Amino acid sequence: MSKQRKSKTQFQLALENYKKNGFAVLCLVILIVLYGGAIFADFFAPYTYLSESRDNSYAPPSKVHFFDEDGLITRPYVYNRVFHFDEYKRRIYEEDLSRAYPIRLFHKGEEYKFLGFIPMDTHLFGVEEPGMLYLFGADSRGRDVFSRLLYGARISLSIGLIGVSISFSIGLLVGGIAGYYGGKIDNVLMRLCEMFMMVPGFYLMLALRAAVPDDFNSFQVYLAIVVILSFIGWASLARIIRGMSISLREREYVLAAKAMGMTDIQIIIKHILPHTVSYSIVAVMLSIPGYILGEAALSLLGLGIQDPLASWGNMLSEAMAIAHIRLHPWILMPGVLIFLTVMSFNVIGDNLRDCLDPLLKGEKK
Amino acid sequence: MSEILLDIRNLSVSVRESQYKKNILSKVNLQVKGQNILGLVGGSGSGKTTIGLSILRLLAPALKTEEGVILFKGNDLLKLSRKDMCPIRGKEISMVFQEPLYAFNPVFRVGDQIEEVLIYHEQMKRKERKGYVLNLLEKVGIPDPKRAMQSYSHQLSGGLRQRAMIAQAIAANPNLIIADEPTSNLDVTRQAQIMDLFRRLKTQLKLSILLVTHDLGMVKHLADEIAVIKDGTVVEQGETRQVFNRPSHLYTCKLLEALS
Repeated sequence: MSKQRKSKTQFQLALENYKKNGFAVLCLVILIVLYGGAIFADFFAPYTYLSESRDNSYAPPSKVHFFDEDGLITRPYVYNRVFHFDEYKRRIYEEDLSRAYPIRLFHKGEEYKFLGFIPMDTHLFGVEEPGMLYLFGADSRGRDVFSRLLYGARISLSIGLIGVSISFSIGLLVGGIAGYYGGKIDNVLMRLCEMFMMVPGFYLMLALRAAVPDDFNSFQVYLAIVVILSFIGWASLARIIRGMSISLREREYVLAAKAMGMTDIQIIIKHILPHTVSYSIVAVMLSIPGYILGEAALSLLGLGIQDPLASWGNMLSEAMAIAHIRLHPWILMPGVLIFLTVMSFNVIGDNLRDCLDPLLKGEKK
Repeated sequence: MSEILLDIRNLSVSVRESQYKKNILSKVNLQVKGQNILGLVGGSGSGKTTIGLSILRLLAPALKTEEGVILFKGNDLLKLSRKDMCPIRGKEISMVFQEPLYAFNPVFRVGDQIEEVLIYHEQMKRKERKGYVLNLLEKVGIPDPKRAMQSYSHQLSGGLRQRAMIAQAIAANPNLIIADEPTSNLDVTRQAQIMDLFRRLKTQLKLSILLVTHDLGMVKHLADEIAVIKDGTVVEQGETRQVFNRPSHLYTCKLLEALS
């Protein structure tokens, strides 16, 4: 018995189970790509979220050419577009074949601060001025939708994470305390939760938003929205954690911890809440989409992130008129990304629930 | 004769529900002397465990202490606030539970849980603590302390688990350990080993032990004094040899008869 077999940790087991579901792995990849894009937005985006070119209002996506006139493979290039008006005064864009603009990697373009503090002007790709590259088309002011999507992802995706971490800390703590102490404290806290749950989420969100002063700058608005969203989510979690906490406080190791001289709050944090982790992880995953959608809904109504700052919600607000969707379908792109993100979180959450649950282990397939 | 470390006088504990009231303990008197092992013997449901828990003030909410004093080093534990109890639990008086499988939190490693005691009661650096825990586990006779430290409680055998539990109990150098049927889930050889360990720790660490058990054989070998409890009252307390040779209460006689 020289070689000791190391037993698998809970994490390794869960990871193995997780990998069995190919779709969930795909969703994880999608999320990693999206979050990666959001973090390094200013490097991946050929333009900043501000740069506009009014001549290219609602320009359709640039056609990327891989073959030159002779039909030979060449480095990809794009043409600039010129427009004329048709009989309904609509802009019709046509490619201007006079000059080709090859797409360059590590193109020197507009200056920005990488990750917020390193000054840089290199973008992953771009085309030389005066060429314009619109991978996903342009919006009404001729801003690149692709670049704005990346910048918007920063807000839309981070709101979910920050919101969830705030509301879950509140929910875990309130639920843990209510369940652990029971009695009057439990009663008061749970009635408070019910008050929050009683009001329909969206109206509560609107009401809280109305309470925010209107002279806030965009960053303050962002913070306000995060706080508003997290105020809505904690109550239902607190109720469930309370239930778990009630059953956990009767365990003998809680008594042992008391006998060791731990204070109540230490016991709640160290011995009760860790047992709710497998539930909480799943709940986090399944509730993040709610925050993303909440932000999108507020911004769509013009109550959230304000132009020119980009978020998926306020980008989507351009697509509210049916005519725009009919004529410029590419402005629905943020909707597609919201759909992908929300779906990914839900699939991952579902799969995590299956592979973290010790009772289901081995039963499936 | 050493001085009295723990002095319980007239302790009454009852369970109450509106009109209904029943005494679990009535007027219990009990003394634990310094560096002494007191065996607290009684049948099931006689209130042995309740005495242990009421010393640490860990009774279930339904149980109320009606009267009495619990003097520990001259202070009445029953008069202390919840906050003031915390530095006493674990540091001055610690507890060894009957079933260590449940007394260890299944999601943390055993070593980390022993370390917790040190975090709350001793000022030690992280590295010091690790070494100290290793030392403790060695002291209680665990053959491979490194592995035990890294294990979860369900990965250890019953005997090792009980030793780890004892290591946790002595981590902060308490004066008194309340051992609540520490060996009732172990086989006879392990019981003997644990008894040895208690005897060794008593002299090494200058401990007093309140040994709560229904096992007269164990008490006979281990305890310096015996208290016999029946239906919530201590019927007899005295030196082990004296109680065994000349029991003064009928119930004690019956217990001894059952043994032989």
